[in-house]
Amino acid sequence: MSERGTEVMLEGLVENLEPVKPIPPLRSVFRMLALIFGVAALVNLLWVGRSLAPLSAWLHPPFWLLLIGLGVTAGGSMLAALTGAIPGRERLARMGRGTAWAGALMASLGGILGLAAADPVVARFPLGITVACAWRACALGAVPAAALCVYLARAFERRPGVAAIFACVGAVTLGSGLVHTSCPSRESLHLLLGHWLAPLGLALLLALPFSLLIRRLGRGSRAGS
Amino acid sequence: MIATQAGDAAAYDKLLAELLPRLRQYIRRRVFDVNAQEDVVQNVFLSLHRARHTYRAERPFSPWLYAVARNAVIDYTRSRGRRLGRELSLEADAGVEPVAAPADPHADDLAPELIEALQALPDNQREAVTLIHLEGLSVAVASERAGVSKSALKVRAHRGYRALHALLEDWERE
Repeated sequence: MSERGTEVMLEGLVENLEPVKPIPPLRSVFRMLALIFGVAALVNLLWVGRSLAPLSAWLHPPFWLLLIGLGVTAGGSMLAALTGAIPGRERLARMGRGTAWAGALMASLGGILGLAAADPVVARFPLGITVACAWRACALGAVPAAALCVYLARAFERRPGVAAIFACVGAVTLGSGLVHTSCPSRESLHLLLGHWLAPLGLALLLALPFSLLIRRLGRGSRAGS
Repeated sequence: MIATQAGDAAAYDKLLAELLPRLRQYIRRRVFDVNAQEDVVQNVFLSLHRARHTYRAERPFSPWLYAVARNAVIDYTRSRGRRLGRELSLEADAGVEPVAAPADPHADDLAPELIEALQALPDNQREAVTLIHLEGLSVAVASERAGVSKSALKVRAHRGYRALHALLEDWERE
């Protein structure tokens, strides 16, 4: 294409210029997410009552390692998702991705260490409660994940699939953190599967429709620009 | 940039004119295929236009601008790699019959994806894109040939280029 073509295109851009509203700053997005998670925590409280993980679980280091791993994964993933959609914030996005991987490693380690230290647990593996915990984590994370995806579509997301994965993993693992602190079970296999691996799997599944959502909403907003 | 976000066309015109030589220089240092350089420059400006709402006044402008430009270069490098891969695999596959030659007179110079995308455009947009971007005619001559006003032709060319870009992007993702 010719240099004249570029100049004509620039004239076209100027003629088609419409006012746009700048995206909100990251600080206010994080504030909004904290509010949504606050509501989610309240819903969780109403859902399961005032139950808390048993004291013996809190005294067990792998329980803490899994909990911290979930929190770090959630924070890193959401940071990676949000900053990846804003040009010029690539360094923060890289940091977020690194943090998310470190958190995933911690959570896996917590689950595996818990399993290694436990009595033979497979015979007592409570399948029903594991499925329930995974679903609850997913349900708690779904609304914040949707809010994140709407923001991503409004920003300038170039890889909707990857962004949706980070957004959903971040939101669902944070939901799983809430579940982890309120689940009465202390079976190690349940903690590893129901609080970490199954919610992670559900988050990856949830990312599929959300990536389509980002693509669809993003295309709509681009058509308007 | 802030005035641009508010819809100030004069400020936008001035900004784009200031950025054009800077971005051309930036792209020429990174894209070595002379034929593709201007394409990438145009992609940078389209991305800049579409991403203008992501700039925030409290952040410095240059990192934002060059991140947009860098992403366009990365996209170009990736799509070039994929295209080369496809061409190599087609060459290796001796049994493949060539696709029927398109009716477009410029078809010999164009990539098959571009021809297909051009044919998917509405007639008036295809005509505008062909006259201005492919034949390199001035707007005055092109508008005379198309029988429409200059500004109508510019809008058609811009919309056509945007639609082409979106189509090619979608196909690349698929």
